[in-house]
Parts: sequence; C-alpha cells; structure tokens
Amino acid sequence: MSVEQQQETPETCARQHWMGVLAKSSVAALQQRWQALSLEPEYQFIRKPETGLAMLRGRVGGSGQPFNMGEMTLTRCAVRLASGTLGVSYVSGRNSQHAVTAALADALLQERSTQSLLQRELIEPLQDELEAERQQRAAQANSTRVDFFTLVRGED
Amino acid sequence: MAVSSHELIAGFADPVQASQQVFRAALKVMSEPGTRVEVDYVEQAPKGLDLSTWQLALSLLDPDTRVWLSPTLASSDAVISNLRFHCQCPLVEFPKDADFAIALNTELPQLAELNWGSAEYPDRSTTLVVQVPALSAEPFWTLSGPGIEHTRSLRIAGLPDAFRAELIKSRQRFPLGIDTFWCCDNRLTALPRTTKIEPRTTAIEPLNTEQEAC
Repeated sequence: MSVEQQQETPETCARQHWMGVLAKSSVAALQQRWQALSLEPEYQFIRKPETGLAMLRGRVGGSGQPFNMGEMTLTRCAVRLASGTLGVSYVSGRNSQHAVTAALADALLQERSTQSLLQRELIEPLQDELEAERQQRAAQANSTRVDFFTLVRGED
Repeated sequence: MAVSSHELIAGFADPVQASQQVFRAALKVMSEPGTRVEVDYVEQAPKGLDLSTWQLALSLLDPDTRVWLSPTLASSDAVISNLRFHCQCPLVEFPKDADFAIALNTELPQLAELNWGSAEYPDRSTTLVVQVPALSAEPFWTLSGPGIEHTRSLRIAGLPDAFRAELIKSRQRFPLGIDTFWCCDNRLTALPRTTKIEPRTTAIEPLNTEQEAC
C-alpha cells in the first residue's frame, strides 16, 4: 500500500512527536506516570491491541538504495473516546497494555481540555527520561571511542 | 483518499473467533448453495454496507485481495476508510483486476467485465458480493447441483432481468465462472458457479413484493 501524502502541518508534527515519545518510553515509566494522573476516560476499542511484525527498511548512509533490514515485533491499537476522538498507537514489543495506554494518551492529547496537562505531566518528563538515557548511552560509547590516525614517520 | 478517522467504527470484538465463525458461515452457504445463514458478530456496519457484507469483508479481505467497489460504495468515505483501516485491501478501478467485487443490486457490473479466471486456473476468478433488498426461500429460482440433494428454491429480490439472464447463462462456460455471495441485512447466501439455476416462472417479478422485509 502506498504511503498517503501527509501535509506537514504543525498539528501533525506535534502529534508525531508525542506518539514517538509514547512509543519509545519504557512501559514501567509510562504506566507509572499515566496512573499518577488517574484519568479514566470512557472509550471503546476500534482495533483491540494486536501484535504483528513490521519490516524495517534502511538506506546505507541515509541516501543509498532502500533495503530490508529486518523485522521487528510491534503492537498496535486504536481507541475512540466517548467524545469521538480517535487515538492510535504503534509500540514495539508485545505489551498490549503499553499500546492501550499510548493510544488513550494520544486521544487525550488531541483534546483541548487535557492536552496541556498531559504534555506537562506525561510527555515532557518521559521525553526528558528518554533524552537522559540517550545521553548516558552516548557518553558510554564515547568513552570507548578510538581515534585512528597515522603518525608521520621520519624518513631516516 | 486518506482514511477519515471520524468514520472509523469497531471491527470484530474478538477478531480471531469471529472471523473464523463468519468464514465458516461463508463456507456453509457456498457448499450448500441457496441456504441462508445469519451472522451476528458485529453491532454496526459502515454507512452503506449491510451487516453481513461488512462481516464478510472483515473475514475475507486482507492486503492480498484486490477489491472493486460499485460506484456508490466507492464514493462513500465511511466504506473506504473502514475497509482500508480494518482490511487494508487494495482498491482497484476496474472489476477485471479484482479478486472480490462488492456491488449494490442497482449497480451490478456486467458479468463479462469481471475476471473469469483461465482454463488453467479457473479459481483465479472474481468473487462477486452483492447487497440485495431481500432474500427468501420463496419459489422463484429452483436451484440444483453439488451441495443440493434434490432442489432448493431461492428468491433474490431487486436484480435486473438482464443480470439474471446473464447469471443463468454463465453456467455454460463451466469450469470458468463467477461465484456469488448475496447479502441482506445480517443474512448471507451464495450461488457458486456449479449451481444450476432454473427460473420457476418467466413472469416479471411483481414490484410490490420487492419491499418485503428481509
């Protein structure tokens, strides 16, 4: 199926960002913050959480020919709130609770009444945690970096 | 056309169980042509589709089945969005390219426009799914053939005369042919290409009986 042409509106970008954060965060951290908010929205499943495989594609150096890198497990889910807003999630792994929470959060983030609360209490802290983790891994990798260089050898 | 999120409705509540049950119902009506089966595994269908058509779509269609929709269905946002979201089936422009053709009884394609398969692969034909106003066991058509012990009678309301004649005539090209599902509300029946159809009467259907509830 061809990828639909999506307009790059600010709303789309913002939604892509929070969906990314929800998908990448660890289940424990997400659940803890979600439960602390004790939002209990009414919802129905449009698509119950289901686990499947997705083919990851890559390009060498970001500009080569696309190739199939391998498959990953992911779980997807779609919910509709009582107000009619649709929330969608695609998360890696097989944790269906993660997918449901991410879909609910996605739906509530589209609602004006809850958007700023969730941004402040859920997305931003999770984003900070992700960033800290990334920094830490980068620092770890950096400490073992080897710079290769060739000494200039004397002629004699 | 992109998927419109406000049109999306829930699919099967229990997808594995329900799609197997509906598949079983589809097998039953195909193997015992003319029997009518009720399927009740969803609460609602997208605007424009009957419950049985929608359930058949949910259990039979997937990314590998090409689907043609008759013009009214093809222009319905609700139908297209839900088929794309739940079945992910590619939609094609011409009935000839389709594995499944879904049509309203008023917008039937000519049988010749569908894919009949080839002598080597008669199974690669298009399966036609038609939504009709009423299905009943009134003696109108007498069916016979594999899956029917003696004869069985079936009345499908709202079919144009030309289409009925074409369908009856299509049996001459066996093993090539078009298998058909008929959907009305939550009821389902089928006429595979092996079933012989004999009109009980040549009189034109009286118009007032077409309005019967199905």
